[in-house]
Amino acid sequence: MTHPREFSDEELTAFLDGEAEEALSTAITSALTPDLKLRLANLSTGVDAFRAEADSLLASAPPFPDLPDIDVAGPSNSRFWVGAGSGVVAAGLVASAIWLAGTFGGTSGEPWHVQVANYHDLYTPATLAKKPGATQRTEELTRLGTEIRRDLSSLPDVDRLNYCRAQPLGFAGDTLIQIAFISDQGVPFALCILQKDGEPSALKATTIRGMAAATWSDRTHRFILIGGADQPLINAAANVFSKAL
Amino acid sequence: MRAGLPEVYPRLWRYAVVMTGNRDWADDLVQATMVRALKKADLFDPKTHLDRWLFRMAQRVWLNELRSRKIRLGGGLVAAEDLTDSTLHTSEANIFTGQVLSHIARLPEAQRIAVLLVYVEGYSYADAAETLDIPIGTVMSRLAAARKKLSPLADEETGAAG
Repeated sequence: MTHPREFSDEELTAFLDGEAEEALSTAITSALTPDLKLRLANLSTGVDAFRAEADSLLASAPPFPDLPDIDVAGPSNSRFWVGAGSGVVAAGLVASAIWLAGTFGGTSGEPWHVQVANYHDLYTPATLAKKPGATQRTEELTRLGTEIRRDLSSLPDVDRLNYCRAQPLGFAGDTLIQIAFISDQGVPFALCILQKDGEPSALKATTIRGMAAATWSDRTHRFILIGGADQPLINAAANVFSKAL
Repeated sequence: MRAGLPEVYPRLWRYAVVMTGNRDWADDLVQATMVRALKKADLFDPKTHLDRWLFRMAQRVWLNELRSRKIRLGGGLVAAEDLTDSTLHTSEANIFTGQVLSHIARLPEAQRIAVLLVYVEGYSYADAAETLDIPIGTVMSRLAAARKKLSPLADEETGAAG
């Protein structure tokens, strides 16, 4: 007595997909017992639902962005010139280019806080339009606090600065965190923290790339708060953050 | 190449969402892929398929440059085949919360991508294998495993175990 051939799930899948060789297709077609038909039916169910979900994803795709001209000179330590694209896309694509370069321009020679300013200068209100809920804020800050070895979960609220998001960046191999805010007037702000050992320094007000800023540091981290032209706001917020972090 | 990007862009975005399981990460991945594509535009052969070129590029960017950082932020290293993502993503950008994408969410990353390329994008096994840079047999295995996970029998087993 010959036993009916057993077909693997891979063979049945190839058959269902029209990818089975002729010999296999013939063998399966010739062996369509009720059990085999049931296996084929079970392997077929669910794919349509996946396809429908994928179609719904496609329908929710964001619009195609304006592409700026990206002129790259040299390999990973490139400088980036951003042309007449929207601020949102420009910031995103330049950030991506910087990211792909490995670090936040660690080889360009400029100090980290200046490069933070260069990056922040690209921001527009549209860049930070999304404001998350309290749960997402806590989750983001907790995760990034672990990344940078500084508790960020109790980052205080500052009057007139609305939390938008926190993201990891990098500078010359060191961990860099950016916490982005937007003011009630729609001005983007960023608190950036670089994990790097060094001498502590007191809070200092400054102007970088035409933007109001404040910097300070302790033995393991460097900080900069930057954005807009309201130096008193920057100073007051930096005072709160420097005491809390 | 640049002129063909608008048409492919939504599918590239969907590919990135399905691969990463997270809309924000997909946005980052698509942006990074577009930058890479623009920088390497002179390497694209117009006689070939732009979508496959971009999908392949996105996969490389994800696997080689972005994914390890995202996983680290998620709270620990996870084996690639075990990335069902619901344990990693807790933010609102996680596509696996809720029931809207429940079938996509059932599958680990490698199976999701194989199913998307073959059953949604309509790639042959050979084209999917070339895009993913894996053997055809691996494509077949992933599709078979995905079909089993998507089947009603998988629901019954899960219910019995739970």
